[in-house]
Amino acid sequence: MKELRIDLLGPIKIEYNNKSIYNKLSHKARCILCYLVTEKYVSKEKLACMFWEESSESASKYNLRYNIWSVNKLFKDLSGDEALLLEWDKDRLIISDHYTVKSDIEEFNELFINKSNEYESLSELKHKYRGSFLEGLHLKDSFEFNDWLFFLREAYQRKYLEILQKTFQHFKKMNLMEKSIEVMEEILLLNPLDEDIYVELIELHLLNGDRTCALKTYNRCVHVLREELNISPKETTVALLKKIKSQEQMPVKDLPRHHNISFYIISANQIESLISNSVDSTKKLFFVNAIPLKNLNYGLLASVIDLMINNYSVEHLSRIQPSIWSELYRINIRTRPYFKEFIHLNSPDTEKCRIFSALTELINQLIEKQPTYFLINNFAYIDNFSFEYIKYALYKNSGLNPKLILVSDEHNEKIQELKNFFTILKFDFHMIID
Amino acid sequence: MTYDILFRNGHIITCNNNNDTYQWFAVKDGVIKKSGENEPNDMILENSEEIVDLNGNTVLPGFYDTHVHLVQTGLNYLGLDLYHVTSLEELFQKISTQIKHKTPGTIIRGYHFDVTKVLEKRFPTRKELDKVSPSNPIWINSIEFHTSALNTSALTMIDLPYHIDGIARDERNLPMGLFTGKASAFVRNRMLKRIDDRARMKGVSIAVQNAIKMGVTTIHAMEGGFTFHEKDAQFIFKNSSSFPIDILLYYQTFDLEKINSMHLKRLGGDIFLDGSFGSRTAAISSEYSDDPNNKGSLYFSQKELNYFVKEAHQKDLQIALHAIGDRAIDQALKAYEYAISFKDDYDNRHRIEHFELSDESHMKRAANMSLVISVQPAFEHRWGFKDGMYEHRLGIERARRTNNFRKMVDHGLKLCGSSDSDITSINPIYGIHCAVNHSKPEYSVTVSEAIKMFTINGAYSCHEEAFKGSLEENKLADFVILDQNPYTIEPTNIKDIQIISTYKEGIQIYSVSSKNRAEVVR
Repeated sequence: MKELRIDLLGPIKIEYNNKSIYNKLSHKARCILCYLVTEKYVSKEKLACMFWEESSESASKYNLRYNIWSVNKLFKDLSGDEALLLEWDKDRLIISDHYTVKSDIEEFNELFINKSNEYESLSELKHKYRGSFLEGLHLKDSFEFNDWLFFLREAYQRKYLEILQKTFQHFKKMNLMEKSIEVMEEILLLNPLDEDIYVELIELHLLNGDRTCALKTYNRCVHVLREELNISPKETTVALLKKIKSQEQMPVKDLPRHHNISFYIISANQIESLISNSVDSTKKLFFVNAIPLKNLNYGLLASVIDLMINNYSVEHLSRIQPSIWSELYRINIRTRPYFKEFIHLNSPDTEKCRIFSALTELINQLIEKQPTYFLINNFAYIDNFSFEYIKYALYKNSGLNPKLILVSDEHNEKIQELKNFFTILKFDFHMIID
Repeated sequence: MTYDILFRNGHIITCNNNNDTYQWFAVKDGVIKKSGENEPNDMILENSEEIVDLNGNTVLPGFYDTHVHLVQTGLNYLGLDLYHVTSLEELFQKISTQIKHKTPGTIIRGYHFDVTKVLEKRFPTRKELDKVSPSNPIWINSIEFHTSALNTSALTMIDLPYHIDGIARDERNLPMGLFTGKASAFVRNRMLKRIDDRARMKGVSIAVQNAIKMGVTTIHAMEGGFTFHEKDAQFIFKNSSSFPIDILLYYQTFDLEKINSMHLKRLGGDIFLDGSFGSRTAAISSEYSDDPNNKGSLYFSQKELNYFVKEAHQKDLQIALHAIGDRAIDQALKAYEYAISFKDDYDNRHRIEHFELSDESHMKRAANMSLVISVQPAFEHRWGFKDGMYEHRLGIERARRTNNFRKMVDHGLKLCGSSDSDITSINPIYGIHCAVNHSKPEYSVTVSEAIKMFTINGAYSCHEEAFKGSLEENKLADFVILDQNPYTIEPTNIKDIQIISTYKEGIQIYSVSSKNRAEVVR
């Protein structure tokens, strides 16, 4: 096997039979190889003129001959006896067909031309673009070669941008908001000064129901425009801020309060007496700690699953439908022994709903009708997804069983948010031991 | 009490409220502990470990330069000043000469390139720069920083987004190496990111040493933000204590959370409400005389600025805003008035930088809010003369109104003096000279007022007057020894006064070899 692989998108890679030979070649020889791999058939005269612009005709021809000789010498050593670069049709230089030559741009172009409308190919194309064409490379004495570089750098970058945009459209069509956001962030990496991309991102976060990220992106946009360009955002962008803020207020205005649904709050110094006085076989008290990792989605819910697994027998746990365990496997791997097959998930947008529903089912099936209390310590640290679940669970079970006891300051912003919908009950010691 | 060092036999101008002059002061732990108008008594002499004879020379408090782009000034020492270049040929010559002293791959940064001054009236192209410098990345900045020119080596470094606005292209639609607008901002950001902190340290060290030679003991470093770079501000934040003089960071950012997390008490500097007269971007209320239909631009809406100023004001931060044209000055004043209307219980000492085309009503409003005005007297000498840039841009009538320091002082405004380096050099003596010898003589201030701009008022402008800015007991012994007395010299010769020595906290940090230098006698 004589395989030469040259990757040109991103930092240059030259390998012979899977071993790098980058350092065995001179800078010019590398450039000649890259040029040949890209352009296939090239006249020697053109190569000599291009690579040694400033030299006389005879000197440039000699330099080219020397470089061809040195490349061939290397490959003869590597392969046994086979030159890599051959003359063709008197003037043309080609790569010998005794070598299998592979390059990322060839694979990239083929996919781009034939399959760039298929999602799987888009993903592959995106990965093939490791960086700009011949990243960081130029020749110090060849205008022609450098022009060729800039032309292709731009052409491949534009193709990459097109791929990102198609990928984005694909995800958006599928309603996969988080994936769409990831791709938009990649587009923004190319040009961080593009206000329209920030706008698109803000809209996506809003569609995803993530007001916090929408606001962060808006602030990032304003900051970049001001510090890099000293300009204000467009009026239409500023209008988005109102939209972000109105999304926050909407639920409060539009949703009716549920006075009959309640939860308890206590302060940290009441925990000990609550726990020590709750010894009662008819009731169950689960104690769970929120840890200060707000960005760890579902962090608290994963701990609740741990609690359930730790507190119930295998027999109990095995009675739960496998589909529930399978759903919850997404956030806690300890559910794995209780189901055989994974449920294929199509959209992260439905993921939250399925996890919430599965966890509610799990808790309800395990506690049955036994009066149960969940005490959430350090409630201020709760992650956003678990907080969403708290609201979900309160709506779902009307705050009846299990009941929630949150250890928090009443002025905490999340408590205030809950207060918009539900009723807070101050800790009453008898509620547990009654 | 014992003293580390006694400075005697000097003409010590204290710059205190009474403008007292002393003959000696004694220093302990960097602080002036005792001073006197007559000869020190035997007890002082006996209890002083070291005695320095000032040889009758004049002593002033160490100077403040309250508006310096220190990192840019420093990097300029490592780069190429293109301000006086008159042709592309001359530019290429300069680059060739510089390359000889640089290792291959080192970025060569040319600055202050004025396209209107060069014969060809254009920027160099990428290929022209490649011919001069095939290996070293070249980055040329226009004088107003709105245009960048790069050679191939530099362009290869930055991973340019080819769909960004502002890329000039040749007949084959390839990048010519010239970038304006968003493309220039992108280039600037990426190139400054490429400059490592070792280069910043090298450049800033040179700048600080030169400032010390000019008698400066405190610099207000305006860093970060538009046309500068985040890394500059972070560099000053991390390294300010590495230098022998005090460097106070004014972070040119809108990110109040960042200011808070860095425990900074102030922000701004060149938070640009408008541009400059030179580039006809300062916001003025009627058209430029040499550019009809152009009144310059305000970069903020009043609402945006009000919001930002109010937020920072509420956090008891000091704010410094750049405002040159009368429209920008009015906008800055409105924003401060708005913020103060909500909260007026803290001595913020908000600042307006430049304040060049202010009128009496602006001065009154600023004085009502006790604002500090950071002025650059050297601007008048550079642009304020007959047929100078101010007259070209503003016309004779309006040019008569620029930088009226006399009226500002008379309205009770505290003026602090600065160079706006790298626009003019760090040189407080020259700043004092320009304030005393204003190009419109009736706008001149007295020698005492001019000195205070660069000493006690500088300290006041950053809440340091309790321990710096004048030579009084219990203040730091930051001072300069001059070879002539600015009060007695012919005012037009103030600029010729030389700094003999600079002291920071009683330690000599600069001394010129001169017959009049201070002598250690014990």
